[in-house]
Amino acid sequence: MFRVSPAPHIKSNLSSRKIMYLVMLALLPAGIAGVYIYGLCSLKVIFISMASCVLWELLFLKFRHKDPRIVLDGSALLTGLLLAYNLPPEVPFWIPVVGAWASIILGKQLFGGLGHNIFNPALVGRVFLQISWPVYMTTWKNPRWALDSVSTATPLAKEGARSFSYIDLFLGNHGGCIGEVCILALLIGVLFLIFTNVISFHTPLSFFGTVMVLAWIFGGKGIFQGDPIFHLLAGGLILGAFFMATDYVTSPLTRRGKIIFGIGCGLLTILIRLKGGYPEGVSYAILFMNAMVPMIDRYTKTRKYGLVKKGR
Amino acid sequence: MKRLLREFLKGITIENPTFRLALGLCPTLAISTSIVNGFGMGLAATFVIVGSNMIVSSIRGVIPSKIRIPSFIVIIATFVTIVELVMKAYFPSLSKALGIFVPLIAVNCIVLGRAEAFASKHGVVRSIFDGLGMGVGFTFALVLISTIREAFGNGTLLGLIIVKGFEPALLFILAPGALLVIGILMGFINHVTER
Amino acid sequence: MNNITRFAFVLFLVNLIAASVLTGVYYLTRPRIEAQQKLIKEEALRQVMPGSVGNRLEPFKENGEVRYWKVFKGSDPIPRGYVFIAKKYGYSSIIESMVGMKKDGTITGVRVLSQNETPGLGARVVEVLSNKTLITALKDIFLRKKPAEKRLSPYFTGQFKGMKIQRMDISNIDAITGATISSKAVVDSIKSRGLEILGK
Repeated sequence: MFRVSPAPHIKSNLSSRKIMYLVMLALLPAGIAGVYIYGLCSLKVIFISMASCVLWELLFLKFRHKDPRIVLDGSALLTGLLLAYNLPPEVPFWIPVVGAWASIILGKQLFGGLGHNIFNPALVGRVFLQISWPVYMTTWKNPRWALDSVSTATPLAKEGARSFSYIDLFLGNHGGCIGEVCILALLIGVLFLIFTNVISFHTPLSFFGTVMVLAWIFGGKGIFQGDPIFHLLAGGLILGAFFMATDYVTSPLTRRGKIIFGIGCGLLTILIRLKGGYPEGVSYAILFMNAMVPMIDRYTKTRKYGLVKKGR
Repeated sequence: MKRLLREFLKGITIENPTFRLALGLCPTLAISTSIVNGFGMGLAATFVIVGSNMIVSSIRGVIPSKIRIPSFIVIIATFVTIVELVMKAYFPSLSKALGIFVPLIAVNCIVLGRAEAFASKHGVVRSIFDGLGMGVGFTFALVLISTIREAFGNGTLLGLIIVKGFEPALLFILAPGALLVIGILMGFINHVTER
Repeated sequence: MNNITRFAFVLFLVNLIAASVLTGVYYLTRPRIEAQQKLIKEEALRQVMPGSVGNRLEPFKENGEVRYWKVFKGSDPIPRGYVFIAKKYGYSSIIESMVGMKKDGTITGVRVLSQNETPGLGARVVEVLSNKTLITALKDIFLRKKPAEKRLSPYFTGQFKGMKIQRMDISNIDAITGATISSKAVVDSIKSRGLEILGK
């Protein structure tokens, strides 16, 4: 077991730096898919986002008189990559720059840097942008080969639903954020992460399960008439559940805690998708549950090794 | 005289109700969306604090201590209602913008806090200066917060566009922006004062 | 026992003084408050129904409930137009608007009364655009020019003015960017309610 967990500790040969680069490697196929689907503009967004994350981090480290080599731990690069994956492909250049500021400064460094942040930095950036400039954040681009290349609705927007086949959703043949559209590419990366033991699947599976069950019950016109597969494939659920809800720093430590975390994320996601003012709720759900993590950890503490619970 | 000046200044600096005592945050979060609102709210609260401090300190020997809190509340509520009526009559648009938060000054912890912690133990003149200081400190904090929020969240100052083409970050005008701005300002002030 | 009567007496006194002060303030401010409220109401009405069309309102009741208002001009017994409330569910809330309409279906004004749409998107149905900047305002003060007239009505609902209700459609108005559903809800609610009233 190479995961962060409470005692007993078994020495792991995975340093946090190596994990960062492994996760980035796993995200590569989704990025290639995003660039392939929406064209070079997505590559520009990815590049600006990663570069500005590193620059903001360097700036803050200098301001706090810390060792600038901390930036090499890869966490800023990964945050930048994840942030870009959560953006529509044709945002103005300053959107990822401001998003990187929110991610790195507000989301991570003000809390004390990597390991001390309560919230997932990339999601802090995304939500900051989503609330601040909703028009840019909800202007989607059709795939390169579509006839009408300007703005369209995502499958989740209430106007456009149901005109997408499952295979289109699975391959990413629709408007969406750069890294979340192509489920196939994301799953390739997920397989790699599970194979290398970087992430556990407790959070994602309980997350998906909750979303699918609730979508089936409440997602349709009547009860039990919803479309669980649609809610699984549309939007940023796969990206969020595998790559952001599993972040070591901001998710619970124990297996039981992870399952509770996933269920909470699923509940909130469906609540926001079906009843909220925004079409997508995955990022808000994960951020909200991030805040719950200390409480979840406290109530799912594993017993100390070798201790027997005393009867009263 | 020097002592009075100190009572006045402490509310603005070392005992600033918003940044140092963290009192009265509810109206601060809710109405600091524009400078006009922030300033209006600050003035209304200042009037109430000064008035209630004055009355409370002048009757502090008469009121038995067991019923002092209900008496204070009645006095505060009276001043709040006066403010509300006057505002409705003469500044209807401000009254509409501040909405429920004008009557809610009655439960603003700064007002009762000053009545209980200061005015009920000190003389009239000192209490008035304490109230003035607290009120001005509160107004200052509100104007500072709302200036930042209006500039970044709406791209305007006093309703006038700052630079054409700047696209305001809506977050600052909404509730999360209020928490963010207050948090960052508090952190910054602590950072500076702890040096 | 003696204590309790003393407490009661003191509290009574405090309340008595407070109540009498408030009564005084209330009587002093009442006429002004009433005048202000009347002004606000008239202002809202004038925004949707200009005085040149009509200036007298009469509620039209159905089963004891006010359905809409008929607008008359002076003592003319024939109604010149209607004022009605239109509402429909937008993206995340019911959008309610007050509409003024001439007898032939020409919209004289629309004012959104309540909505709780997504901030920055649907909520922009009530956004008022100002073209006054800090620089122009300072210039006005410096040159002692009279400031330009303030725009009061939101640009989205402003474009309905003068439109015929029969020809109103989401395709021939400028919808708010990124908020087609909210825009459509406003248009549809006005159209269906207006046609319903004209049909009567």
